[in-house]
Amino acid sequence: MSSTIDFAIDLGTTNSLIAKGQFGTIEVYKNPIGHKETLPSVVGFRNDRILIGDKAREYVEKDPENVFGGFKRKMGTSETFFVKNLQAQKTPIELSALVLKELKTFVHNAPAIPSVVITIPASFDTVQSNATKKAGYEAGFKEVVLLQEPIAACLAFANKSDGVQKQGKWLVYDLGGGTFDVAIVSISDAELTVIDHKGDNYLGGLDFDNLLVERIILKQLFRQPHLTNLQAKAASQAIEFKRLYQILLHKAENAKKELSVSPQTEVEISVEDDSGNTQDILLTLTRADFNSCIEDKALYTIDLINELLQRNALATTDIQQVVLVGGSTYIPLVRELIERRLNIGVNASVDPTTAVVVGAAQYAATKRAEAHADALAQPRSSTSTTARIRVKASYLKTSMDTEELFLATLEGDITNIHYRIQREDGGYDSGLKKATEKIREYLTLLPAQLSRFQVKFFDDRNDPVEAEIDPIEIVQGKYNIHGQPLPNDICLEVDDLEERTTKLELIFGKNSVLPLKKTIYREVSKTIYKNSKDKLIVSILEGDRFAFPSTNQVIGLIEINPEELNADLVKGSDLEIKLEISESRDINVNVYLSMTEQEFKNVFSPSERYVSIGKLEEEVDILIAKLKSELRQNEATEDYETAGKLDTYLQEAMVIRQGLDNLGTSLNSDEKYHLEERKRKLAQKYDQLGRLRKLTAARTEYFEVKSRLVYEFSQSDETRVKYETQYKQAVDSEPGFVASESVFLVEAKTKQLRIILNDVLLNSRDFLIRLYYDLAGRSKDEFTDKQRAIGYLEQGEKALERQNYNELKVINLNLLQLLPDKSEYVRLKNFKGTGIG
Amino acid sequence: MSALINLVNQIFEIEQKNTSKGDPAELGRNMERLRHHLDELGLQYHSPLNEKYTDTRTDCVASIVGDLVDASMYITKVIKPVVFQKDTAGNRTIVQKAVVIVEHRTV
Repeated sequence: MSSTIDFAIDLGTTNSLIAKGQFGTIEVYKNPIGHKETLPSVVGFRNDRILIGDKAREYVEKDPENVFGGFKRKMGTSETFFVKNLQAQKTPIELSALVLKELKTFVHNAPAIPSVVITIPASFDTVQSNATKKAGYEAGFKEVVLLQEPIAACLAFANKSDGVQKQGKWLVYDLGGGTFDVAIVSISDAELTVIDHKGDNYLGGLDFDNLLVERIILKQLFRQPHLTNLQAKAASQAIEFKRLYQILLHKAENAKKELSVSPQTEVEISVEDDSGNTQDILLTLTRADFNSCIEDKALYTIDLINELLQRNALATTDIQQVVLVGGSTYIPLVRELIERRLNIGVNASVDPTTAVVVGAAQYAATKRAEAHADALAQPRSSTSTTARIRVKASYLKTSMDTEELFLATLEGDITNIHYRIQREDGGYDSGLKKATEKIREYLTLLPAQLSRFQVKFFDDRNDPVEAEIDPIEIVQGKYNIHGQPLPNDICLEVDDLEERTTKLELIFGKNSVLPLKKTIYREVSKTIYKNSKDKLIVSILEGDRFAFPSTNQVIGLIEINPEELNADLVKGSDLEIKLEISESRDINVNVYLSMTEQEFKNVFSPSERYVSIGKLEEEVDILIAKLKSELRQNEATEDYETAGKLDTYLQEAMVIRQGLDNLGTSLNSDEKYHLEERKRKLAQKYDQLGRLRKLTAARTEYFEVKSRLVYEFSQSDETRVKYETQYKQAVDSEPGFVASESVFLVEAKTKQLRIILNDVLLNSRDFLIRLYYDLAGRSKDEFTDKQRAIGYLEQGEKALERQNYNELKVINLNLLQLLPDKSEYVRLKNFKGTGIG
Repeated sequence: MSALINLVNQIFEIEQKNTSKGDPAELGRNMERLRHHLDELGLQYHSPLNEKYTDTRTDCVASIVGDLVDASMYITKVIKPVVFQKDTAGNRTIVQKAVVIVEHRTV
């Protein structure tokens, strides 16, 4: 438990903020909804909800009988606000207390806040100051320490800026969203004192936005041809014009920010012309335009400063610097005028929006607290604070509506308890509502997905009250999960060019709930010339995502023949495949070739089968090649049992191939389906036979490459540092992919590690020398070009003599290129694949 | 992050303009693709146009134009969309509230 106050609140007329100072750092808290540091000081009583902040501000002009802002100006007066919805009066203290309570909810990392520093304007007298304190106590703070805003701001600047004279007098120039204040602060080693102040409660950034709209933007719009009706609409305050005005205000606010950093900006406005068509009009606004709008107002602030200085018999030379506070001080003209007219240096080294709360938090971090958090719970321990509230909730877990009714019965002491329901993404907030024995609330749901809501309970100080309730979870727009799950994975077949084979890419996983829809973006993996025989094959398969493609059932197939293309389809051009599966399992495939701007689509019914003879031939060829290769390996390792099975499979594959060759002369049109079925069953048997062994082999290889790499790292710190990030990325998800059933996945990771290892080795002198001697020791006949090999080897000798290892590296690589690739798949020189990379 | 959100706002504006003019340059497909890539970056956006507006909607910052009739307020214009950020577990959080115009409408 900290012995200092730590927490500070800038309770502003327009906006309020909360921050914590501890261990030399300041944290300005953000609103959990909306992520802004500022909370508009506006309170609304809309129906049975209390809205505080942004939401309330939206209604301040439209529902003035129930929504109130600017009440800080009435602090310490007997004036009250009549709330029509409640048929009751609310004092400025009560409204301020609600803002303070709301700010407490921003603090996510402290259980309770017993003490707080609250800032007040320099103009506040004793009554107004006491009213602020009272608001603090009503909000549940046990100890409230007040600090004048200009002093808080000076603290923030004094603690930040070095090399600035920290003795004498500073001017605090505070121009916010709606108010202007200026104060002279005397600074000495011992204390900071406000000597005098002046201000205008109705001057700020919002006025500048309105001026920019009225004097510049609207004038330019009225000059546009075809917009003659606009002026008439403006004069009659037609609803279209009011709507446009709000949009223009928003654009003006953005333009104002841009003009603070650039000399000019452009504003694009969509507006309806005289003939009812929408016109996009581009207006150029310059900083000079903006300055001309606001210069009078800015000069008025300078006049106020001069009056203030005169009143205190001070010359501008008596002021060390002007510190800038409030968002509107970002405007360059404001800074220029102060410097030019007053000839005083301007200090803008602290974020003007948060300067007051930051300074106050710095003060709070050094101010000893009299009250402690445990004192908070004490008086309430026998009543509601510690009493648990038990909640019996009732709602539908799935809904087709955009709103769903939530009902709950509360048990326990709910006197003076409020509840609040918020959606976890921040898009719904019930506002504070008084807890009753039975509560009902319509919850707005996120479309077509899961919405999670938190129900929280608060006591009259807005401190959280423990309650027994799980988060509310409602799925919108999806039918019950028991409806129609997919029995198998649905995959797209794509090329694996390195291995000269195809592999599966998952589109929808097993048990996904229908209907499903997804767009996949890929590239064309080979150029398909209009006059060639290559095809682009979009093959949608159902089965096991980890198995070979040929073991899966084709459920949708689009073959795009070269003669159908508008132009050659170049390798690397984009390909979009849109796939939809309806609840009745109809498959809608839409292929779009961005290069030729062509669309191919088809609807496949699950009761039909699709066979491409060319593709089937290639699959059988690949299967035969694989079987032959493995058969040889098994014979070499004397695993005759497996070899026997593989031999049987090979015979079967040969029969299928022969069947395919004879297809042209066959009269039986069903023969191709029959052959496809045989091929699939054979591929499944082969896949099952080899899968475990292949997985084990792949995993073993992975760990071998990994341990070699770790060894190389242990030999050289330089290598380790250079490759560590790449290595970590590669092994990051190791537990996942090693445990997976996918040979492809493990092999892909091994490949990734091997690339790093190769790089490491090719930069290792010892390795390069060893590799060279290994290559030199081979029979020259092993190289595909004997003469070139001899030439390289001679160069290698010389490079070794000169100890030129970079040259040796190149020679080694050239020699390796001359070694024949013994991979079985190389035999399939004419691999066609799907054309999808 | 703010640069990414600005990018989303620009994409949204292009999409709005294009749709309102009946997709003259057939940009629909490219817009969909942009959405897909934003989604890969964990960003999604949503235009709440014509949706009902209530006190409990904290996904929008509204300017209310004309009469306030609580039961029938609708979003009639969207200046900026709601932008969501997805985390690795797929949970979404609002990183930008929509900026909207709200009006009373008799349906």
